Amino acid sequence: MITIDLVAIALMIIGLWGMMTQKNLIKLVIAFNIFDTGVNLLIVSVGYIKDRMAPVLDSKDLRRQAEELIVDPVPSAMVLTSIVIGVAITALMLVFTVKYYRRTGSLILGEER
Amino acid sequence: MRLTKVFGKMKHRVVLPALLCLILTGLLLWMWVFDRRGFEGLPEISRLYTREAINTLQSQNVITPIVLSWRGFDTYGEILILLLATAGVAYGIRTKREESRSQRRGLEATRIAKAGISILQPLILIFGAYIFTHGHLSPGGGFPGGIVLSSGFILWIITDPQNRLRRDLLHLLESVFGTVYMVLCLLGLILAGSFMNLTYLPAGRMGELFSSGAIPLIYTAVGIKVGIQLLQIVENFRD
Repeated sequence: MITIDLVAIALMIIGLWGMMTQKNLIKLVIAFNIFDTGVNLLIVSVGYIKDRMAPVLDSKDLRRQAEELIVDPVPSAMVLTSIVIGVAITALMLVFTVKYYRRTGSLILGEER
Repeated sequence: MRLTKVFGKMKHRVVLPALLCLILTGLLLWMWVFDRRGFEGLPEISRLYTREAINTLQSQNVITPIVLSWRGFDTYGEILILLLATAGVAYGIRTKREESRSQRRGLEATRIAKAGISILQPLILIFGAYIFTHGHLSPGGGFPGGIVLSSGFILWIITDPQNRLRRDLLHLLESVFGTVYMVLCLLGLILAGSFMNLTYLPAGRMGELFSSGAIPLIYTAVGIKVGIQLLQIVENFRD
């Protein structure tokens, strides 16, 4: 799963780049979301083990020797938490963007009137 | 004015350190990715969770009991963060001019959306309920189920700008289902010996709807609560 790792690292770097260089607040939020996706992808790929199945035991074989056949369930559980937190943070960031726009009439940092 | 000057001058000075940071981050992550190669089999804690999920809870989806029981505090904190975000959105986006809020009319939806909603909304709501009641059997659970549930109502909101949700009712339902979630977790402390221990209801047989202890009940409470919180966020963004 080296491909997924590379995609995740690339997404994280693109997101970090956006967060460090962009001055448009909407672009900052988008960059944060790209970074968030990259982190989630990386955490999921940590739990991946080659040739194994998702931890949903829907057949007899899977139930009998689950420990040898499923991927690591803990990172998936962590990502479930982190996705919802990403949504919450995005909503808050958008609210701050709206407030900034109402106060300054501009979406770009450093160009206040 | 001064800030503009500083930012204008810093433009080139921002790019180089940013590039350096990115290269370092990428290198670190790259090294870490290669460091954990050659790691075979589950770690000990995951083995324990898998065994427990199969033997004591009879849960078909191994992730669900991890999220709700052994790592239940994470889920609890996550719901609190969502609650804080909802409160932050409600506080931050509030406008003082009440009359401008009522004057601001949204766009009317097309006839297709208006005709489709009467067919789609019940199906979406049933699908959301299906997702969170089958959280212990299939991928899914309270959070995706709640989001699907709220999307049914968001569709209703966007078809007509006059459609308003009753916020007092939303607050009441959210509090009720949050309390139900906490009570179901506390019952574990009273009946099974530890907080968020969900084995106080019979485990049943793996693969059936009424199995794996209290997980379906808890996921129903969590699903409705998450759906209502997202609805509140969307409803607040309309102001």
